Amino acid sequence: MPHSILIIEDQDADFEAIERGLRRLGVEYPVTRCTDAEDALDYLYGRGVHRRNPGEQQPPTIVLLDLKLDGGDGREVLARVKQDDYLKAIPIIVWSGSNDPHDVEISYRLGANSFVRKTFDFSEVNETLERLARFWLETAVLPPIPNAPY
Amino acid sequence: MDLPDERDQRVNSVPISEPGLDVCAREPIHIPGAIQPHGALLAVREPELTISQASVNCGTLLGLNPADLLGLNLYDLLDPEEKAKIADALEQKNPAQESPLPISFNGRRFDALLHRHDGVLIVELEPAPPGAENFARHHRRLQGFIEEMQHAATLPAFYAVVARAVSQLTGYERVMVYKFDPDWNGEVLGEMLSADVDSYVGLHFPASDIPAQARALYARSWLRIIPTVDYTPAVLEPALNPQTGRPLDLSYAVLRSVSPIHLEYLRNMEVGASMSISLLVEGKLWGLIACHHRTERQLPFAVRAACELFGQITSREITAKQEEERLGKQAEINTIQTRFFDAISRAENLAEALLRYAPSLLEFMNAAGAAICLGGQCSLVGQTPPRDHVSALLNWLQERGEEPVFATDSLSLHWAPAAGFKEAASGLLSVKISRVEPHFVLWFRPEVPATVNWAGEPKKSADGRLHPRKSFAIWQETVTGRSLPWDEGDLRGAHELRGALNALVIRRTERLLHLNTELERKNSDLNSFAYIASHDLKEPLRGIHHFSRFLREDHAVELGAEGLRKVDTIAALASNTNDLLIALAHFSEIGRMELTLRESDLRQILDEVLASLAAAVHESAVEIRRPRTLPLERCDPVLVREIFANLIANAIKYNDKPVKWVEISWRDPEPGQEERGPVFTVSDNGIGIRERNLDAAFQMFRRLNKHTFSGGTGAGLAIVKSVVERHGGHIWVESVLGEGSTFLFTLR
Repeated sequence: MPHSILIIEDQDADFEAIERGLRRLGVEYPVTRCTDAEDALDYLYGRGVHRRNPGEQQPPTIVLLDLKLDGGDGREVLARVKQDDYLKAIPIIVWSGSNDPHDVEISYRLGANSFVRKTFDFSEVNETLERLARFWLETAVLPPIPNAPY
Repeated sequence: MDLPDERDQRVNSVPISEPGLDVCAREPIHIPGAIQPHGALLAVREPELTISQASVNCGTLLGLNPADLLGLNLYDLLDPEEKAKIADALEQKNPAQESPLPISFNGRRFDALLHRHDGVLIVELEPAPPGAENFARHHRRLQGFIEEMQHAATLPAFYAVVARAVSQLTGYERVMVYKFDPDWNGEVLGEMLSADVDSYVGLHFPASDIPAQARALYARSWLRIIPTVDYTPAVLEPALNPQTGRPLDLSYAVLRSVSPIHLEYLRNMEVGASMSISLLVEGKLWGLIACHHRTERQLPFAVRAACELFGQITSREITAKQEEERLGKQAEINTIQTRFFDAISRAENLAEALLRYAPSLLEFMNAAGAAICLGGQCSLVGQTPPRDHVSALLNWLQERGEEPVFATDSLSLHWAPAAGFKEAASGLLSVKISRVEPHFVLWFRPEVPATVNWAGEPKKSADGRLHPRKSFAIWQETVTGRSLPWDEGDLRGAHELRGALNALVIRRTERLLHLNTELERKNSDLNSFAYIASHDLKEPLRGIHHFSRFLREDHAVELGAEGLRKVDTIAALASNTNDLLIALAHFSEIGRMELTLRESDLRQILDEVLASLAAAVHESAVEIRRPRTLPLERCDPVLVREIFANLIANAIKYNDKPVKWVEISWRDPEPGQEERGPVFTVSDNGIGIRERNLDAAFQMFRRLNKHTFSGGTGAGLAIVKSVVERHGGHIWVESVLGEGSTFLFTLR
């Protein structure tokens, strides 16, 4: 089953930085972007505009999640996914500009698989992405996600 | 001296062990059972008007012995005209107001004085003077004196007028105005002598000269007269009044017989006849107008009536003059107070303000020195006891308890150690401002070595209850350890000042509370700002930065070299602004941190700081010098870490030498500066700071070397300064441009 990446990010600059970074790294997995919590959950559950027909695209194999979203809170998405018996197997990487240790702690409590701080400099964004890709896409073995019930 | 009127008649029969004052207080001088023999007295039962008691001299004066009189109806003694007058008088509620009534017995003319007391009608019969009494003449003379009295400019002049008036009205050889002090000692303030007799002006008479029950009697009746001290009392028959079953109460009888001890006292003073007029102020005995004559002297009723009236008018005048004096002083105090309070209420610091206006503070209380003690911190102004004595005095005052104002003109009597500084401060007025906190204002008055001229030695007179003293020669006593007394106005001023200062403290507290609320609000605003700065502003900045990078990647060819330079500038500016925001957030975070002092090992803190800076140290190839191990110090280790981290980071950053070093050390406090604690130093051989920039070095976000965009934000030193000052310490910098800088700080 091919990997796919969901990026939940309301900021165009940040999304574009990630997308460019991934391209530069040669990552060719399909990337989907959601800009608010509701849209993200619809996508994950395959409902609303993201309704899936059988055999169509399955939920993503990995999620990059911004905590502060214009529409809703990234933590809400995190909590919902990690409470779902089926979806909680999907690794979620929190990708946040927050310097607040409290946000870090909350994220892990809610079940984030890692917490990465957004960096200011574009070149640092690329470095961070490279390390993430090396681990999550090349090193780690991700769980298969067969037969989504949604 | 006439003033001491009645002494204890029975004192010899009272056991010596019983306290004298108690004996005096219980001495029934109002029921002597006898009268002075120049007149006759009848006690009459109403309404029957039966004579129930008569003085034994009735036989001599009226030609009727008590035995003949007792049981008779009063009217049986009178002719119809007299009877009608008496009947008229008895119709009145107070027959005394109708006195005197002319009555004749066996061709002798008498003035009959009637009064009711204790349910008994008392009829006193005094032989009438020859000729008609001219009340009008006396009253005209009185009018003149009253006018003179009202125009007296000073108190001594006033007392002189009073003495002269009574002298001229009565013809006594010595007339004195005598005033009681709070302890009932008396002093002669004014005098008129019309013969070659000793002057008593300025003499003091001990309180025991006029015992308490005599003073009580004086406060009830306006005038007493003893026409001769050499009389044989005429007793009343029977001894007990049949109506009351008690001896007849002669409190208001003109003829009342006085104590033989008092007569002896007068004789010792070579006084043959005396009279005294009470002076009452606000219902209390203020003093007396006392009159002496060497020989026998009787005054007709009309003159005595004029004297009584004069006594009442004089009393009113004294009340008015005292009130005037009080108001004058009050006005003066008010002026000083207003100025004082005005100054204080505008001041930020209560102690500072009290001190700044110390001259008014002293003037306020007419004191030579003052101490302002707020929460154990004492400031001394003017002439005061030594500081350690003031501290001891404060402790003593604290232990004394709750009374808010304490005043004494002889502190050493209350607190023995005060004898050690009696010259500077024999008088103390203390105001406790706060009930909770040890806030005091103390005023001191210096010793006034006073010489008191006693008429005879007062201490002998104290046991002289057995024998009235014989010597009235001046006995001088030098009183030490005494200041000028604090008067009522001073005490009132003290209470008012206390009230005002209290209000001020409360107002200040309220303002502080208000400011605190305001501060909390501003702090919370600052917090939100810091939050916005570190989160919301960073996001668009990051966006600007990212897009400038995307521009560069996607449109390098179109932009050209010049375009690319501008895009890079945008990126750099955004990046720099981002650094500023981070620094601002950090500064605000440090400022909001609670200061928790504990014994901390600065060496260990420095180790940790250097470990965190290891990369920068390595990269800059800077040598770290630690010539002296840092000591233990009571401080907040988390915040102090910020001091070292920022100073060392700066020292590394601002260094352009090929061989770089940073030295962290400390020195012992300068002599006399021990309470400041050790001085810590962070030195470098870096670029240094221009002398004109030294002052600005610690200002928030002031960058002194802005030749690059990566030159730091300038928040570091502001953080350092804030942390140092929150510890109570100081920070300063010594620097030579191009050679290096040394930052020095203390933590206490």
